[in-house]
Amino acid sequence: MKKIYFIILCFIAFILPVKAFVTTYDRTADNNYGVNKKWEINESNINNVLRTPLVDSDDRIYDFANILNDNEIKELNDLIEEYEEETGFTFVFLSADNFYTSDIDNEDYAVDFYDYNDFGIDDEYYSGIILYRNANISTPYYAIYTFGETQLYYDDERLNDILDTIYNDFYNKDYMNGIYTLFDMINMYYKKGIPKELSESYIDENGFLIYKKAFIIPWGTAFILAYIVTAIFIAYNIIRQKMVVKAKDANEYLNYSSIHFSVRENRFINSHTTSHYRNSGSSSSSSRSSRSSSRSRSGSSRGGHGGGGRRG
Amino acid sequence: MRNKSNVLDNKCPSCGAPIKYIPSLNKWKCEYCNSEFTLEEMQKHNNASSLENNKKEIEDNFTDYVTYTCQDCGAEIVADSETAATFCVYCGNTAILKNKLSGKFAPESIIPFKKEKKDAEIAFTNVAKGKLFVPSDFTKKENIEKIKGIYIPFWLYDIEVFGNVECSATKVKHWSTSRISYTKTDYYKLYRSGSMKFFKVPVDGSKRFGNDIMSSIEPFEYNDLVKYNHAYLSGFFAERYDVSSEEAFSDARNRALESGKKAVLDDCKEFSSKTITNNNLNTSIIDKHYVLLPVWMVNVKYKKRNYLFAMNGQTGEFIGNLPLDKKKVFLWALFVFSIVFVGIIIISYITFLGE
Repeated sequence: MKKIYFIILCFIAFILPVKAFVTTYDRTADNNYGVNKKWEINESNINNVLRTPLVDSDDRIYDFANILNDNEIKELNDLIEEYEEETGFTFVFLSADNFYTSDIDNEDYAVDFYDYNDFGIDDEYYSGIILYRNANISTPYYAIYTFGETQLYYDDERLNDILDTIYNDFYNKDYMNGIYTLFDMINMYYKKGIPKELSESYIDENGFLIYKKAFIIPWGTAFILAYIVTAIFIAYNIIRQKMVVKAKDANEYLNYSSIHFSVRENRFINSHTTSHYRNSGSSSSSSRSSRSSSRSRSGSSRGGHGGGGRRG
Repeated sequence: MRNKSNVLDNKCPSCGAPIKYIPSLNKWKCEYCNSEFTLEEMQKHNNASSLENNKKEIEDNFTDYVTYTCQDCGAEIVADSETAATFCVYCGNTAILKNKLSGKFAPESIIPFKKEKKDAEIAFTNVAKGKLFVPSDFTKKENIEKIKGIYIPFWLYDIEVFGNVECSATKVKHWSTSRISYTKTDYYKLYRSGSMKFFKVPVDGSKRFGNDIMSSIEPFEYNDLVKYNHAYLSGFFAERYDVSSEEAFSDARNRALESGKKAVLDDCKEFSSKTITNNNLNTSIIDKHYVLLPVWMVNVKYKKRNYLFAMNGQTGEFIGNLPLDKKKVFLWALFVFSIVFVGIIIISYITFLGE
């Protein structure tokens, strides 16, 4: 009987995907709570630091929710290695199973994880990306957050594009497909370089994106306006050279005192009235939900970051 | 066939030299003895003949006469059947082919030139000023010298326009409360019946000159119309009409009808919009006059095309379509485009720096 159980267990172990486990460490004052970055640990953020799992930052994949099997982790590691070699940026994959109803909670969790685990420690601006998946069955969420110089390469528009593209894969839990797509896109955008809009922006010493509006030459507008003005100028001057205009009436020769109307009748036919509601004229301020490129909240991580996520 | 007797050459009553009409003096002046003569004085001389005399002359078959003999030097003057006054190409004297302006071709009145050739030359020189696309050599001296004064035959019509017109019209009124805006449109049918008179509507009586250019130099001030006298033609070319009064009238009629419609619409000013839906306007000729009107003209050939310019010899109104120098058009277009293009970019950058 024991043999049968053993065979069954071996069979189950063989056919089921092998799950990896993440090793975490304790945060103590002796190891400066596991934070070697320049963030000062004080009363305002100590709670956030302590609740953030301390992991080995040489790893890149932290699948707390066990959503990837060993093969998938291996594939993802290859992708990350290739990406980091190409860009010099750190890439972190983080999955968790947290009952977070708020996007901000998800963001705090993922961002603190990056900031308080020494990711990107070798880079002046701690540059890197974290792909975060909250696999909680009630509050599924996925997000990409950017740190340091990656905030320049992956602006809101590009991140939105990536998040929208991989939505179906993450929603259907086809993670690897989504991850492959994600890497294709982040590699593509990296090769495209920093968007023109951010070409004058830079990252400050704390990793915040300092937005400086870039001057974008309005080629199209200048061309169209110059074309219109030139056309009007040429037409006006050509018309000025055409002075011959055939007289079509004889107003100058009309003796106005000779005008005599024997019948002058204005017959009313009908009337029509239309009405429409007027605009009140009061302009309501529009509230736009935009994901800020740089955020810092009390208690949360100290560095600047960008990015956002989706429910699903 | 040659006809010597019908060529009139105005001569100075004092010295017998050729004499010309000087517009600024409103007199005839001899360039040799400096004598000046009024119309009355010229009429006393045999060289001048009055309208009454003209009308008494027997109408000949003018179209056969294309060659004349200059009274002064005896050279042959060749002119087409519509030319009434020209110049001898050898001695330069005015040759007035008086039988061309007699009988049914005898003008009733004439407005003598008030503007002289130098005025026309200045006007022609100035016409290109400020016009960017005119070829640089267009107003060169060679072209200016071609300017010549011509008495153009015109028909002047006194016209009555009469009939009735039906219009659709609306009156629109807007008002509003605090929340609602209202627009009330009242629809009307308007009826007008009546008449109006036009006096001396001019139509060019020569096929040689386009009606467009002739109507562009209007109006002439008819107060200066004087009884026709051959003497006024001295120093100028002249044409006789080759468009009959009946043919020319259609132009005057159309113009009068157009103005008649405008006058009706002007009578309905209280309406916001009005459109003529039916018009039954007609015209009748009250009177017509055959007159010669003074025009300075120059015909310039540029790149195988003729450009005709005309100046009202009385008011100085100068008209003509100037040729386009395509190279200049292109260079100006390029220049303006570049300036605007660069300007927009600079303004954008300055605006950007100011933000």
